[in-house]
Amino acid sequence: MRHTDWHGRDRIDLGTQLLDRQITAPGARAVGKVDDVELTRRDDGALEVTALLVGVAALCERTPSPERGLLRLGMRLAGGPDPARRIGLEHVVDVQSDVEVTEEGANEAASPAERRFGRLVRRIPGAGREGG
Amino acid sequence: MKRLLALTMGILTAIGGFVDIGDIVTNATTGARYGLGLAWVVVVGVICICAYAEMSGRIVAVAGRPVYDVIRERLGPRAALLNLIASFLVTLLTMAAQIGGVAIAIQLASGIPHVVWVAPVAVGLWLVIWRVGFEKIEQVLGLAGLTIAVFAVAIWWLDPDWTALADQATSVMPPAGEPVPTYFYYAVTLFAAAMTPYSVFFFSSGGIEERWSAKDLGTQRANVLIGFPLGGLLSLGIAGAAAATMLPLGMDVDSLGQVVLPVGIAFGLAGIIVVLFGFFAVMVGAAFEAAMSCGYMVSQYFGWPWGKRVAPGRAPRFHAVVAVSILLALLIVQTGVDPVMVTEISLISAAVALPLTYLPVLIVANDKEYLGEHVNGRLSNAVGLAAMVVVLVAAVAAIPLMITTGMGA
Repeated sequence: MRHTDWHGRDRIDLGTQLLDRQITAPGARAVGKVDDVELTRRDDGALEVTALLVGVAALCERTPSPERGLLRLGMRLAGGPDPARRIGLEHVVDVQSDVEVTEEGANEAASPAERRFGRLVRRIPGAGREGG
Repeated sequence: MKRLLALTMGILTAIGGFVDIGDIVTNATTGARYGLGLAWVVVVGVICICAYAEMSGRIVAVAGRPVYDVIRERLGPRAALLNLIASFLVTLLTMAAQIGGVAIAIQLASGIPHVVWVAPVAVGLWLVIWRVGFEKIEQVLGLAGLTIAVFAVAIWWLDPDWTALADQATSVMPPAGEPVPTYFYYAVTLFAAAMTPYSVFFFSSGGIEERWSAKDLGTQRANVLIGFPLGGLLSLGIAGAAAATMLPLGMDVDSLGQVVLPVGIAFGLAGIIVVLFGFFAVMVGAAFEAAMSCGYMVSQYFGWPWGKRVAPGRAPRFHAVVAVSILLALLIVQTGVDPVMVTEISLISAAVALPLTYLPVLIVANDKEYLGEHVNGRLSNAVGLAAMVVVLVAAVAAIPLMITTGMGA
């Protein structure tokens, strides 16, 4: 289902239609997963999805123990924990089997862990070669 | 012409990618013990891996979603995480077994103990992944691996009792005097060797690396439906060669060195050189696929950039996972543990973990939202569901059979 089909529907199952989908930036660049969503209560009392939350920290909020402990351990091993990042809904271009976001939205969700590993990996000769 | 070449290469790499240390060891062991009496398991295994790979390949070509992406979407983050941990450990063990196998192949050629070769093999593997192009690795190793067809040629050369072989191949029960649980224990390991999950993770992720689209569905399907069965035939060649030479002598196979024996009897030193070269190629190929799969599954679960089509500097977490996995596999083999033992444990664990990764693929292959008009037809679903039943039976039976038979002793 495309997100344009959502208009006019009473309910959308975010669990199957949005959560845990792959987020991609233009050029099919992987950004992350929809690890959680930010819900804001509107004046009329209804809940509205205002942002996608990305990062293991956001995933931890949805994961019970003992799996949460494993995720936290993973974050520490990767030099974290890093806070969750937010992609405002205005940056979401389309929802298909993946969630397409704008370049700007992707940059907002850039991962600190990826930056740390990137610095390490780029020191190895050949790290810049594409299609290697 | 380009399409034909792509098809040929795809088939060749599927053949090469099917056979690994698991197939080599289990086919030789069962061939020496039961002749071709477990050939039916290889046939069932090939049908199941074809169904699994075809569905995952279709999901990749049409929806662009690799296996672990789909697993997390369908099972949710918690169940998918447990699934990820189980599959990662199994794939790590599988990689360790392949690295150990490569080291043993070099030991058989050089006479220098395998533990000396483990670290150079692992470092070499990492260097290849870091430097060499995806398709080049696949094609070179796939083609080189075809040399293990020498087992099939050896059967023909040795001209064994063909009626006995045919009798064994048509039976689905243990030979008289053989305990039933042990027979089915080997059936489960042989099935797990044919239907290794890492080869499907690799195959489907490779589809994204090679940028498949819906118009490649025909090529993709031909690769699967021709390549895997031919790979199965190569495996049966190993079993048949053991059946022709070792079964009549009452010999057991419990090391890689013994697997080579039938070809040595047929063709002498030249044959052994060809086999060792083939072993080297298929096991390096399988270690490559398993190492990449470790990176693929973790990256796809978390949604990170992955793969070899982007520069390593742009997919640093993927490359970190691959490198750490190779390091862990190296440490496992460097302890001096017998790679054949590691292989058997990895196969039994793979059989237990398989339903977790197979079911989500079967579900999504029926989801119109992902696949539109390319969802499973009646035939695909009939085969897919039958495979699910076999996968479940193997998973439930694996541990009890392992315990009651003392690992097939």
